[in-house]
Amino acid sequence: MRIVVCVKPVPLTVELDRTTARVDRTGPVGLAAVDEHAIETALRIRDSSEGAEVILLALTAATAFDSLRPGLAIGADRAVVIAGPEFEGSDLLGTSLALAEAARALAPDLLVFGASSSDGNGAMLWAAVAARLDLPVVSRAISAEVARGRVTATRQMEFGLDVVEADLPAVLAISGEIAAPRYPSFRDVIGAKKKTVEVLGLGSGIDVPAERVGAAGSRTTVLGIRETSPRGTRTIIRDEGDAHVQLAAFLRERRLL
Amino acid sequence: MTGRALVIVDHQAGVVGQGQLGLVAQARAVRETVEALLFGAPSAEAVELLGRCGVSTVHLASSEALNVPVAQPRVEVLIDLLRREEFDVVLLENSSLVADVAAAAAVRLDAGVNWDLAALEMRDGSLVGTRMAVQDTVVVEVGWSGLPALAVFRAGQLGPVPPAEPLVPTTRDVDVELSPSASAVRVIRGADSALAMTGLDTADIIVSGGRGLGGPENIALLEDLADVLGGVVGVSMPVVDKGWYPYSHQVGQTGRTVRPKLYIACGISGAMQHRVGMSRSGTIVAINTDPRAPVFGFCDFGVVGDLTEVVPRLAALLRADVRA
Repeated sequence: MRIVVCVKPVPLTVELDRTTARVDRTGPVGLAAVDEHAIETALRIRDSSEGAEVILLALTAATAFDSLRPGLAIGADRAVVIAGPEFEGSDLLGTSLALAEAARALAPDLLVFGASSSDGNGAMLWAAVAARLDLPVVSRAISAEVARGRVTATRQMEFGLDVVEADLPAVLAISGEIAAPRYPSFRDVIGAKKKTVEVLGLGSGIDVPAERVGAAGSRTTVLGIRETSPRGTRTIIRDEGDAHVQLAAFLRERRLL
Repeated sequence: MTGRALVIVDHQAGVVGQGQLGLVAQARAVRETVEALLFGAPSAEAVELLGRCGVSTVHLASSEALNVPVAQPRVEVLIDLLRREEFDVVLLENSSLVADVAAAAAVRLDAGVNWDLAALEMRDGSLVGTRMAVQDTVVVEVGWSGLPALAVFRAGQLGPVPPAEPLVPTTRDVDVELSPSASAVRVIRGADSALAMTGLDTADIIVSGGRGLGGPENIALLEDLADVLGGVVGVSMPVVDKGWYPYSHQVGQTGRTVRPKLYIACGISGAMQHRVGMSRSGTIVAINTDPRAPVFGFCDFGVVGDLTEVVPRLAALLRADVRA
Protein backbone atom coordinates (compact mmCIF):
# COMPACT_ATOMS: atom_id res chain seq x y z
CA MET A 1 0.00 0.00 0.00
CA ARG A 2 1.21 3.47 -0.84
CA ILE A 3 0.25 6.45 1.30
CA VAL A 4 1.00 9.97 0.12
CA VAL A 5 0.80 12.78 2.68
CA CYS A 6 0.32 16.29 1.29
CA VAL A 7 2.13 18.71 3.55
CA LYS A 8 2.75 22.41 3.35
CA PRO A 9 5.75 24.08 4.92
CA VAL A 10 4.38 27.20 6.59
CA PRO A 11 6.11 30.40 7.70
CA LEU A 12 7.03 30.17 11.37
CA THR A 13 5.46 33.59 11.83
CA VAL A 14 2.51 34.59 9.71
CA GLU A 15 3.04 37.98 8.10
CA LEU A 16 0.91 39.36 5.32
CA ASP A 17 2.61 41.11 2.44
CA ARG A 18 0.91 44.50 2.62
CA THR A 19 0.86 45.01 -1.12
CA THR A 20 -0.31 41.62 -2.36
CA ALA A 21 -2.25 40.53 0.75
CA ARG A 22 -0.64 37.15 0.34
CA VAL A 23 1.21 35.39 3.14
CA ASP A 24 4.88 36.37 3.12
CA ARG A 25 6.80 33.16 2.48
CA THR A 26 10.30 34.56 2.38
CA GLY A 27 11.07 33.92 6.08
CA PRO A 28 11.91 30.64 7.82
CA VAL A 29 9.40 27.84 7.33
CA GLY A 30 8.61 24.59 9.10
CA LEU A 31 6.09 21.78 9.07
CA ALA A 32 2.77 22.78 10.61
CA ALA A 33 1.76 20.78 13.68
CA VAL A 34 -1.33 19.56 11.87
CA ASP A 35 0.88 18.20 9.09
CA GLU A 36 3.04 16.33 11.61
CA HIS A 37 -0.14 14.73 12.91
CA ALA A 38 -1.12 13.80 9.35
CA ILE A 39 2.28 12.18 8.81
CA GLU A 40 2.01 10.28 12.09
CA THR A 41 -1.48 9.07 11.09
CA ALA A 42 -0.03 7.79 7.81
CA LEU A 43 2.90 6.11 9.58
CA ARG A 44 0.55 4.25 11.90
CA ILE A 45 -1.49 3.00 8.96
CA ARG A 46 1.73 1.99 7.16
CA ASP A 47 3.10 0.18 10.20
CA SER A 48 -0.04 -1.95 10.43
CA SER A 49 0.24 -3.27 6.89
CA GLU A 50 2.94 -5.26 5.13
CA GLY A 51 5.16 -3.58 2.55
CA ALA A 52 3.50 -0.17 2.76
CA GLU A 53 5.29 3.13 2.22
CA VAL A 54 4.70 6.77 3.12
CA ILE A 55 5.66 9.54 0.70
CA LEU A 56 5.55 13.23 1.56
CA LEU A 57 4.30 15.56 -1.17
CA ALA A 58 4.65 19.34 -1.01
CA LEU A 59 4.20 22.31 -3.30
CA THR A 60 6.72 24.74 -1.94
CA ALA A 61 9.54 27.16 -2.51
CA ALA A 62 12.90 25.58 -3.31
CA THR A 63 14.30 27.00 -0.08
CA ALA A 64 11.84 25.03 2.04
CA PHE A 65 13.06 21.52 1.23
CA ASP A 66 14.76 21.10 4.59
CA SER A 67 11.49 21.72 6.39
CA LEU A 68 10.38 18.27 5.20
CA ARG A 69 13.33 16.55 6.95
CA PRO A 70 11.53 16.24 10.31
CA GLY A 71 8.81 14.29 8.51
CA LEU A 72 11.42 11.98 7.01
CA ALA A 73 13.15 11.69 10.39
CA ILE A 74 10.03 10.34 12.09
CA GLY A 75 9.64 7.73 9.39
CA ALA A 76 8.31 8.87 6.02
CA ASP A 77 10.16 6.91 3.33
CA ARG A 78 10.80 9.67 0.82
CA ALA A 79 9.55 13.03 -0.36
CA VAL A 80 8.42 14.60 -3.61
CA VAL A 81 8.54 18.36 -3.90
CA ILE A 82 6.95 20.52 -6.58
CA ALA A 83 8.85 23.78 -7.01
CA GLY A 84 9.22 26.59 -9.47
CA PRO A 85 8.36 30.25 -9.91
CA GLU A 86 5.54 29.31 -12.30
CA PHE A 87 3.50 28.08 -9.33
CA GLU A 88 3.76 31.29 -7.32
CA GLY A 89 0.45 33.07 -6.92
CA SER A 90 -1.60 29.93 -7.58
CA ASP A 91 -5.05 29.95 -6.05
CA LEU A 92 -7.03 26.83 -5.19
CA LEU A 93 -7.27 25.84 -8.86
CA GLY A 94 -3.55 25.95 -9.66
CA THR A 95 -2.44 24.47 -6.35
CA SER A 96 -4.85 21.56 -6.57
CA LEU A 97 -3.89 20.95 -10.21
CA ALA A 98 -0.17 20.70 -9.46
CA LEU A 99 -0.71 18.46 -6.42
CA ALA A 100 -3.17 16.25 -8.30
CA GLU A 101 -0.72 15.79 -11.19
CA ALA A 102 2.05 14.71 -8.84
CA ALA A 103 -0.31 12.48 -6.88
CA ARG A 104 -1.66 10.87 -10.04
CA ALA A 105 1.87 9.78 -11.00
CA LEU A 106 2.43 8.31 -7.53
CA ALA A 107 -0.88 6.41 -7.71
CA PRO A 108 -1.48 6.32 -3.94
CA ASP A 109 -4.02 4.08 -2.24
CA LEU A 110 -4.51 6.80 0.33
CA LEU A 111 -3.86 10.53 0.02
CA VAL A 112 -3.70 12.19 3.44
CA PHE A 113 -4.04 15.89 4.30
CA GLY A 114 -3.59 17.68 7.63
CA ALA A 115 -6.20 20.10 8.91
CA SER A 116 -6.34 23.53 7.33
CA SER A 117 -2.99 25.23 7.63
CA SER A 118 -2.48 28.14 9.96
CA ASP A 119 -1.19 30.48 7.24
CA GLY A 120 -4.19 30.51 4.97
CA ASN A 121 -7.43 28.73 4.45
CA GLY A 122 -6.41 25.38 3.07
CA ALA A 123 -9.63 23.79 4.26
CA MET A 124 -10.73 23.34 0.67
CA LEU A 125 -7.58 21.89 -0.83
CA TRP A 126 -8.22 18.21 -0.16
CA ALA A 127 -11.65 18.28 -1.77
CA ALA A 128 -10.24 20.12 -4.80
CA VAL A 129 -7.46 17.56 -5.26
CA ALA A 130 -9.94 14.70 -4.75
CA ALA A 131 -12.23 16.19 -7.41
CA ARG A 132 -9.34 16.37 -9.89
CA LEU A 133 -8.46 12.72 -9.24
CA ASP A 134 -12.12 11.68 -9.05
CA LEU A 135 -11.49 10.09 -5.65
CA PRO A 136 -13.88 9.92 -2.71
CA VAL A 137 -13.00 12.35 0.09
CA VAL A 138 -13.36 11.72 3.79
CA SER A 139 -12.69 14.96 5.66
CA ARG A 140 -12.63 16.22 9.26
CA ALA A 141 -11.46 12.81 10.51
CA ILE A 142 -10.47 12.57 14.17
CA SER A 143 -9.60 8.90 13.85
CA ALA A 144 -9.09 6.68 10.87
CA GLU A 145 -8.21 3.10 10.08
CA VAL A 146 -7.54 1.22 6.90
CA ALA A 147 -8.54 -2.41 6.52
CA ARG A 148 -9.85 -4.69 3.79
CA GLY A 149 -9.31 -2.10 1.08
CA ARG A 150 -11.28 0.67 2.68
CA VAL A 151 -10.78 3.62 4.99
CA THR A 152 -13.14 4.08 7.93
CA ALA A 153 -13.12 7.36 9.81
CA THR A 154 -14.88 9.17 12.62
CA ARG A 155 -15.67 12.68 11.42
CA GLN A 156 -15.96 15.75 13.60
CA MET A 157 -18.81 17.71 12.04
CA GLU A 158 -20.70 20.76 13.30
CA PHE A 159 -23.63 18.51 14.20
CA GLY A 160 -21.56 15.95 16.09
CA LEU A 161 -19.48 12.87 15.37
CA ASP A 162 -20.36 10.37 12.69
CA VAL A 163 -18.59 7.43 11.08
CA VAL A 164 -18.09 7.10 7.34
CA GLU A 165 -16.23 4.73 5.07
CA ALA A 166 -14.93 4.74 1.49
CA ASP A 167 -13.18 2.21 -0.70
CA LEU A 168 -9.53 2.86 -1.56
CA PRO A 169 -8.10 4.73 -3.31
CA ALA A 170 -9.41 7.68 -1.33
CA VAL A 171 -8.51 11.08 0.09
CA LEU A 172 -8.43 11.41 3.88
CA ALA A 173 -8.30 14.83 5.58
CA ILE A 174 -7.67 14.74 9.29
CA SER A 175 -8.97 17.31 11.75
CA GLY A 176 -6.88 18.81 14.52
CA GLU A 177 -4.08 17.17 16.38
CA ILE A 178 -5.15 13.54 16.43
CA ALA A 179 -1.86 11.62 16.42
CA ALA A 180 1.08 13.11 18.30
CA PRO A 181 4.18 12.58 16.17
CA ARG A 182 6.81 10.19 17.51
CA TYR A 183 10.20 11.57 18.52
CA PRO A 184 13.01 10.76 16.09
CA SER A 185 16.23 9.31 17.47
CA PHE A 186 19.56 10.91 16.61
CA ARG A 187 20.10 8.11 14.12
CA ASP A 188 16.70 8.84 12.51
CA VAL A 189 17.64 12.49 12.08
CA ILE A 190 20.95 11.56 10.42
CA GLY A 191 19.19 8.89 8.34
CA ALA A 192 16.64 11.42 7.10
CA LYS A 193 19.41 13.33 5.35
CA LYS A 194 20.01 10.30 3.14
CA LYS A 195 16.37 9.83 2.12
CA THR A 196 15.39 10.85 -1.39
CA VAL A 197 13.73 14.20 -2.05
CA GLU A 198 12.62 14.19 -5.66
CA VAL A 199 12.00 17.60 -7.23
CA LEU A 200 9.31 18.09 -9.85
CA GLY A 201 8.70 21.22 -11.86
CA LEU A 202 6.53 22.52 -14.64
CA GLY A 203 7.34 20.33 -17.64
CA SER A 204 9.36 17.92 -15.51
CA GLY A 205 6.82 15.70 -13.80
CA ILE A 206 4.06 18.31 -13.69
CA ASP A 207 2.91 18.36 -17.28
CA VAL A 208 0.16 20.93 -17.34
CA PRO A 209 -0.12 24.10 -19.44
CA ALA A 210 1.69 27.03 -17.79
CA GLU A 211 -1.44 29.19 -18.04
CA ARG A 212 -3.31 26.88 -15.69
CA VAL A 213 -1.05 27.47 -12.67
CA GLY A 214 0.31 30.54 -10.91
CA ALA A 215 -1.37 33.91 -11.28
CA ALA A 216 -2.33 33.04 -14.88
CA GLY A 217 -4.38 30.05 -13.75
CA SER A 218 -6.07 31.86 -10.88
CA ARG A 219 -9.74 32.74 -11.04
CA THR A 220 -9.51 34.93 -7.97
CA THR A 221 -7.74 38.24 -7.42
CA VAL A 222 -6.73 40.34 -4.44
CA LEU A 223 -7.87 43.90 -5.03
CA GLY A 224 -6.67 45.62 -1.91
CA ILE A 225 -6.08 45.52 1.77
CA ARG A 226 -6.86 47.94 4.59
CA GLU A 227 -6.53 48.08 8.36
CA THR A 228 -9.55 47.64 10.59
CA SER A 229 -10.16 49.98 13.52
CA PRO A 230 -9.07 48.63 16.89
CA ARG A 231 -11.51 48.35 19.79
CA GLY A 232 -11.89 51.23 22.25
CA THR A 233 -10.47 51.65 25.75
CA ARG A 234 -9.58 48.65 27.88
CA THR A 235 -9.49 48.00 31.57
CA ILE A 236 -7.03 45.37 32.79
CA ILE A 237 -6.94 44.45 36.47
CA ARG A 238 -4.94 41.92 38.47
CA ASP A 239 -6.97 39.59 40.67
CA GLU A 240 -6.30 40.44 44.33
CA GLY A 241 -9.25 38.39 45.51
CA ASP A 242 -11.92 40.87 44.43
CA ALA A 243 -11.69 40.70 40.62
CA HIS A 244 -15.14 39.12 40.50
CA VAL A 245 -16.64 42.15 42.28
CA GLN A 246 -15.03 44.60 39.85
CA LEU A 247 -16.02 42.45 36.90
CA ALA A 248 -19.64 42.27 38.07
CA ALA A 249 -19.65 46.07 38.43
CA PHE A 250 -18.29 46.45 34.90
CA LEU A 251 -20.96 44.12 33.49
CA ARG A 252 -23.66 45.98 35.36
CA GLU A 253 -22.38 49.33 34.06
CA ARG A 254 -22.59 47.98 30.51
CA ARG A 255 -26.09 46.67 31.25
CA LEU A 256 -25.07 43.12 30.50
CA LEU A 257 -26.56 41.65 33.67
CA MET B 1 -28.33 45.52 -11.94
CA THR B 2 -28.83 42.32 -13.86
CA GLY B 3 -27.87 38.69 -13.59
CA ARG B 4 -28.88 35.72 -11.50
CA ALA B 5 -27.46 34.58 -8.19
CA LEU B 6 -27.89 31.13 -6.69
CA VAL B 7 -27.95 30.57 -2.93
CA ILE B 8 -27.25 27.07 -1.62
CA VAL B 9 -29.53 26.02 1.24
CA ASP B 10 -29.66 22.91 3.40
CA HIS B 11 -32.69 22.92 5.68
CA GLN B 12 -33.34 20.97 8.88
CA ALA B 13 -37.03 20.06 9.10
CA GLY B 14 -38.10 23.27 7.33
CA VAL B 15 -35.80 25.51 9.36
CA VAL B 16 -33.27 27.46 7.34
CA GLY B 17 -30.36 28.85 9.35
CA GLN B 18 -30.03 32.59 9.79
CA GLY B 19 -26.68 32.54 7.99
CA GLN B 20 -28.18 30.91 4.92
CA LEU B 21 -31.00 33.44 4.84
CA GLY B 22 -28.32 36.09 5.21
CA LEU B 23 -26.86 34.82 1.94
CA VAL B 24 -30.05 35.90 0.22
CA ALA B 25 -29.58 39.49 1.39
CA GLN B 26 -25.98 39.43 0.17
CA ALA B 27 -27.13 38.05 -3.19
CA ARG B 28 -29.84 40.73 -3.51
CA ALA B 29 -27.18 43.41 -3.13
CA VAL B 30 -25.32 42.20 -6.20
CA ARG B 31 -27.84 40.57 -8.54
CA GLU B 32 -31.35 41.34 -9.74
CA THR B 33 -32.66 37.80 -9.48
CA VAL B 34 -31.97 35.51 -6.54
CA GLU B 35 -32.80 31.83 -6.72
CA ALA B 36 -32.10 29.04 -4.24
CA LEU B 37 -31.06 25.42 -4.50
CA LEU B 38 -32.68 23.62 -1.59
CA PHE B 39 -31.24 20.24 -0.60
CA GLY B 40 -33.31 17.67 1.25
CA ALA B 41 -36.98 16.80 1.47
CA PRO B 42 -39.16 19.50 -0.15
CA SER B 43 -40.36 21.85 2.58
CA ALA B 44 -43.17 24.40 2.14
CA GLU B 45 -41.95 26.27 5.24
CA ALA B 46 -38.44 26.60 3.86
CA VAL B 47 -39.73 27.80 0.49
CA GLU B 48 -41.98 30.39 2.13
CA LEU B 49 -39.12 31.60 4.35
CA LEU B 50 -36.85 32.02 1.32
CA GLY B 51 -39.60 33.88 -0.54
CA ARG B 52 -40.01 36.31 2.32
CA CYS B 53 -36.31 37.16 1.97
CA GLY B 54 -36.65 37.81 -1.75
CA VAL B 55 -35.96 34.49 -3.46
CA SER B 56 -37.95 34.18 -6.69
CA THR B 57 -37.37 30.53 -7.60
CA VAL B 58 -36.48 27.56 -5.42
CA HIS B 59 -34.91 24.54 -7.09
CA LEU B 60 -35.80 21.48 -5.03
CA ALA B 61 -33.27 18.68 -4.99
CA SER B 62 -34.52 15.63 -3.13
CA SER B 63 -33.00 12.22 -3.07
CA GLU B 64 -32.11 9.60 -0.50
CA ALA B 65 -28.45 10.39 -1.23
CA LEU B 66 -28.95 14.04 -0.22
CA ASN B 67 -30.32 13.13 3.20
CA VAL B 68 -26.86 12.20 4.46
CA PRO B 69 -24.07 14.70 5.10
CA VAL B 70 -21.81 13.74 2.20
CA ALA B 71 -20.45 16.25 -0.31
CA GLN B 72 -20.33 14.36 -3.59
CA PRO B 73 -24.07 14.04 -4.35
CA ARG B 74 -24.47 17.78 -3.63
CA VAL B 75 -21.58 18.58 -5.96
CA GLU B 76 -23.18 16.62 -8.79
CA VAL B 77 -26.58 18.28 -8.37
CA LEU B 78 -25.02 21.74 -8.19
CA ILE B 79 -22.79 21.21 -11.24
CA ASP B 80 -25.70 19.85 -13.22
CA LEU B 81 -27.87 22.87 -12.40
CA LEU B 82 -25.06 25.33 -13.19
CA ARG B 83 -24.47 23.67 -16.56
CA ARG B 84 -28.15 23.82 -17.52
CA GLU B 85 -28.91 27.32 -16.27
CA GLU B 86 -26.85 30.43 -16.21
CA PHE B 87 -25.98 31.77 -12.78
CA ASP B 88 -23.08 34.14 -12.45
CA VAL B 89 -22.75 34.15 -8.64
CA VAL B 90 -23.14 31.20 -6.27
CA LEU B 91 -23.31 31.94 -2.53
CA LEU B 92 -22.70 29.43 0.24
CA GLU B 93 -22.30 29.57 4.02
CA ASN B 94 -19.24 27.67 5.16
CA SER B 95 -19.42 24.36 7.00
CA SER B 96 -17.39 21.15 6.89
CA LEU B 97 -19.69 19.90 4.17
CA VAL B 98 -19.97 23.13 2.20
CA ALA B 99 -16.17 23.59 2.04
CA ASP B 100 -15.91 20.21 0.31
CA VAL B 101 -18.81 21.01 -2.03
CA ALA B 102 -17.46 24.42 -3.03
CA ALA B 103 -13.93 23.14 -3.64
CA ALA B 104 -15.08 20.31 -5.87
CA ALA B 105 -17.47 22.60 -7.75
CA ALA B 106 -14.68 25.15 -8.35
CA VAL B 107 -12.47 22.48 -9.87
CA ARG B 108 -15.20 20.97 -12.02
CA LEU B 109 -16.30 24.38 -13.35
CA ASP B 110 -12.80 25.94 -13.44
CA ALA B 111 -14.38 28.70 -11.38
CA GLY B 112 -12.85 31.01 -8.81
CA VAL B 113 -13.75 30.53 -5.17
CA ASN B 114 -13.17 33.10 -2.45
CA TRP B 115 -13.91 32.01 1.08
CA ASP B 116 -14.14 33.34 4.61
CA LEU B 117 -16.14 36.26 3.19
CA ALA B 118 -17.95 38.82 5.30
CA ALA B 119 -19.76 40.72 2.53
CA LEU B 120 -20.27 41.12 -1.21
CA GLU B 121 -20.82 44.31 -3.19
CA MET B 122 -20.72 45.65 -6.73
CA ARG B 123 -18.03 48.19 -7.55
CA ASP B 124 -17.62 49.63 -11.06
CA GLY B 125 -19.60 46.75 -12.45
CA SER B 126 -17.46 44.09 -10.76
CA LEU B 127 -18.15 41.80 -7.88
CA VAL B 128 -16.03 42.56 -4.80
CA GLY B 129 -15.87 40.40 -1.68
CA THR B 130 -14.40 41.36 1.67
CA ARG B 131 -12.70 39.01 4.03
CA MET B 132 -10.92 39.57 7.34
CA ALA B 133 -7.36 38.35 7.71
CA VAL B 134 -4.45 38.27 10.12
CA GLN B 135 -6.37 38.10 13.40
CA ASP B 136 -9.08 40.19 11.82
CA THR B 137 -6.77 43.22 11.89
CA VAL B 138 -6.98 43.78 8.15
CA VAL B 139 -9.73 43.65 5.57
CA VAL B 140 -8.79 42.05 2.26
CA GLU B 141 -10.84 42.87 -0.82
CA VAL B 142 -11.05 40.08 -3.34
CA GLY B 143 -12.43 39.66 -6.83
CA TRP B 144 -13.15 36.96 -9.36
CA SER B 145 -12.21 36.44 -12.98
CA GLY B 146 -14.48 34.23 -15.04
CA LEU B 147 -17.91 32.91 -14.20
CA PRO B 148 -19.56 31.72 -12.10
CA ALA B 149 -18.07 33.38 -9.03
CA LEU B 150 -18.22 31.09 -6.02
CA ALA B 151 -18.56 33.01 -2.74
CA VAL B 152 -18.22 31.13 0.55
CA PHE B 153 -19.13 33.16 3.64
CA ARG B 154 -17.66 32.59 7.06
CA ALA B 155 -20.07 30.56 9.18
CA GLY B 156 -22.10 32.64 11.61
CA GLN B 157 -20.99 35.86 9.94
CA LEU B 158 -24.31 36.91 8.46
CA GLY B 159 -26.93 38.37 10.74
CA PRO B 160 -30.66 38.90 10.44
CA VAL B 161 -31.97 39.66 6.96
CA PRO B 162 -33.23 43.17 6.24
CA PRO B 163 -36.82 43.17 4.97
CA ALA B 164 -37.32 42.50 1.27
CA GLU B 165 -40.26 42.67 -1.09
CA PRO B 166 -41.80 39.31 -0.19
CA LEU B 167 -42.17 36.92 -3.10
CA VAL B 168 -44.05 33.70 -3.58
CA PRO B 169 -41.31 31.60 -5.09
CA THR B 170 -41.82 29.34 -8.06
CA THR B 171 -40.65 25.85 -7.18
CA ARG B 172 -38.94 23.58 -9.64
CA ASP B 173 -37.98 19.98 -9.06
CA VAL B 174 -34.42 19.16 -9.99
CA ASP B 175 -33.86 15.84 -11.69
CA VAL B 176 -31.31 14.14 -9.51
CA GLU B 177 -29.26 11.68 -11.51
CA LEU B 178 -26.21 10.64 -9.62
CA SER B 179 -23.07 8.87 -10.79
CA PRO B 180 -21.66 5.85 -8.95
CA SER B 181 -19.02 8.13 -7.31
CA ALA B 182 -21.84 9.95 -5.53
CA SER B 183 -22.24 6.96 -3.24
CA ALA B 184 -18.51 6.32 -2.75
CA VAL B 185 -18.57 7.73 0.79
CA ARG B 186 -21.04 5.87 3.00
CA VAL B 187 -22.26 7.00 6.42
CA ILE B 188 -22.18 3.91 8.58
CA ARG B 189 -23.14 5.63 11.83
CA GLY B 190 -24.99 8.94 11.87
CA ALA B 191 -24.26 11.71 14.37
CA ASP B 192 -26.21 12.15 17.54
CA SER B 193 -28.29 15.10 16.36
CA ALA B 194 -28.81 16.39 19.92
CA LEU B 195 -25.27 17.74 19.79
CA ALA B 196 -26.17 20.13 17.01
CA MET B 197 -28.25 22.43 19.11
CA THR B 198 -25.57 24.35 20.97
CA GLY B 199 -27.30 27.71 20.53
CA LEU B 200 -23.91 29.41 19.98
CA ASP B 201 -25.08 31.25 16.87
CA THR B 202 -27.93 33.05 18.58
CA ALA B 203 -26.62 33.34 22.15
CA ASP B 204 -26.43 36.81 23.76
CA ILE B 205 -23.84 35.60 26.25
CA ILE B 206 -21.07 33.05 25.69
CA VAL B 207 -18.74 31.80 28.41
CA SER B 208 -15.76 30.29 26.66
CA GLY B 209 -12.81 28.24 27.83
CA GLY B 210 -9.41 27.39 26.41
CA ARG B 211 -6.24 25.50 27.13
CA GLY B 212 -5.96 27.37 30.46
CA LEU B 213 -8.81 25.25 31.83
CA GLY B 214 -6.12 22.67 32.55
CA GLY B 215 -8.46 19.73 32.18
CA PRO B 216 -12.00 18.71 31.25
CA GLU B 217 -13.08 18.76 34.90
CA ASN B 218 -13.02 22.58 34.92
CA ILE B 219 -15.56 22.92 32.10
CA ALA B 220 -18.20 22.58 34.81
CA LEU B 221 -17.09 25.99 36.13
CA LEU B 222 -17.92 27.55 32.75
CA GLU B 223 -21.22 25.70 32.54
CA ASP B 224 -22.14 27.02 35.96
CA LEU B 225 -21.32 30.65 35.07
CA ALA B 226 -23.16 30.28 31.76
CA ASP B 227 -26.13 28.94 33.69
CA VAL B 228 -26.23 31.98 36.01
CA LEU B 229 -25.88 34.41 33.11
CA GLY B 230 -28.32 32.60 30.83
CA GLY B 231 -25.57 31.98 28.30
CA VAL B 232 -24.00 29.03 26.55
CA VAL B 233 -20.54 27.47 26.68
CA GLY B 234 -18.01 27.85 23.89
CA VAL B 235 -14.49 26.50 23.68
CA SER B 236 -11.31 27.14 21.72
CA MET B 237 -9.68 24.67 19.36
CA PRO B 238 -7.16 23.07 21.79
CA VAL B 239 -10.03 22.07 24.08
CA VAL B 240 -11.71 20.20 21.24
CA ASP B 241 -8.42 18.74 20.00
CA LYS B 242 -7.75 17.34 23.46
CA GLY B 243 -11.21 15.78 23.51
CA TRP B 244 -12.45 17.80 26.51
CA TYR B 245 -15.59 19.14 24.79
CA PRO B 246 -17.50 18.53 21.51
CA TYR B 247 -16.52 20.29 18.29
CA SER B 248 -20.02 21.70 17.90
CA HIS B 249 -19.09 24.20 20.66
CA GLN B 250 -15.85 25.34 19.04
CA VAL B 251 -15.45 29.05 18.37
CA GLY B 252 -12.80 30.18 15.92
CA GLN B 253 -11.51 29.88 12.42
CA THR B 254 -12.18 26.17 12.17
CA GLY B 255 -15.34 26.37 14.28
CA ARG B 256 -18.17 28.88 14.58
CA THR B 257 -18.01 32.63 14.23
CA VAL B 258 -20.10 34.19 16.97
CA ARG B 259 -21.12 37.69 17.92
CA PRO B 260 -22.89 37.69 21.27
CA LYS B 261 -23.43 40.83 23.33
CA LEU B 262 -21.01 39.47 25.92
CA TYR B 263 -18.11 37.04 25.38
CA ILE B 264 -16.17 35.88 28.43
CA ALA B 265 -12.89 34.23 27.42
CA CYS B 266 -11.47 32.11 30.24
CA GLY B 267 -7.98 30.64 29.92
CA ILE B 268 -7.93 31.54 26.23
CA SER B 269 -4.72 33.14 25.00
CA GLY B 270 -6.47 34.83 22.10
CA ALA B 271 -4.54 33.31 19.22
CA MET B 272 -5.58 34.31 15.71
CA GLN B 273 -7.46 31.00 15.22
CA HIS B 274 -9.80 31.89 18.05
CA ARG B 275 -9.89 35.64 17.68
CA VAL B 276 -11.40 35.58 14.21
CA GLY B 277 -14.37 33.68 15.57
CA MET B 278 -15.30 36.10 18.35
CA SER B 279 -13.77 39.51 17.75
CA ARG B 280 -17.10 40.96 16.64
CA SER B 281 -18.68 40.31 20.02
CA GLY B 282 -20.23 43.36 21.71
CA THR B 283 -18.17 43.23 24.91
CA ILE B 284 -15.19 40.94 25.44
CA VAL B 285 -14.02 39.95 28.92
CA ALA B 286 -10.79 37.99 29.38
CA ILE B 287 -9.58 36.01 32.37
CA ASN B 288 -6.06 34.63 32.05
CA THR B 289 -3.09 34.02 34.31
CA ASP B 290 -0.62 35.22 31.69
CA PRO B 291 -0.54 39.04 31.56
CA ARG B 292 1.14 38.83 28.15
CA ALA B 293 -1.67 36.77 26.56
CA PRO B 294 -2.74 38.40 23.27
CA VAL B 295 -6.36 38.41 24.43
CA PHE B 296 -5.54 41.33 26.75
CA GLY B 297 -4.76 43.35 23.65
CA PHE B 298 -8.29 43.23 22.30
CA CYS B 299 -10.62 42.69 25.25
CA ASP B 300 -12.73 45.39 26.92
CA PHE B 301 -12.15 44.16 30.46
CA GLY B 302 -9.32 41.86 31.44
CA VAL B 303 -8.58 40.02 34.66
CA VAL B 304 -5.05 38.73 35.18
CA GLY B 305 -5.92 35.83 37.43
CA ASP B 306 -6.75 32.16 37.77
CA LEU B 307 -10.03 31.26 36.10
CA THR B 308 -10.61 28.42 38.56
CA GLU B 309 -10.84 31.05 41.30
CA VAL B 310 -12.38 34.04 39.52
CA VAL B 311 -15.10 32.17 37.60
CA PRO B 312 -16.69 30.36 40.57
CA ARG B 313 -16.49 33.54 42.71
CA LEU B 314 -18.25 35.52 39.97
CA ALA B 315 -20.91 32.83 39.56
CA ALA B 316 -21.53 32.76 43.31
CA LEU B 317 -21.73 36.56 43.52
CA LEU B 318 -24.20 36.81 40.63
CA ARG B 319 -26.29 33.99 42.02
CA ALA B 320 -26.46 35.75 45.39
CA ASP B 321 -27.48 38.99 43.61
CA VAL B 322 -30.31 37.18 41.85
CA ARG B 323 -31.59 35.83 45.15
CA ALA B 324 -31.31 39.21 46.88
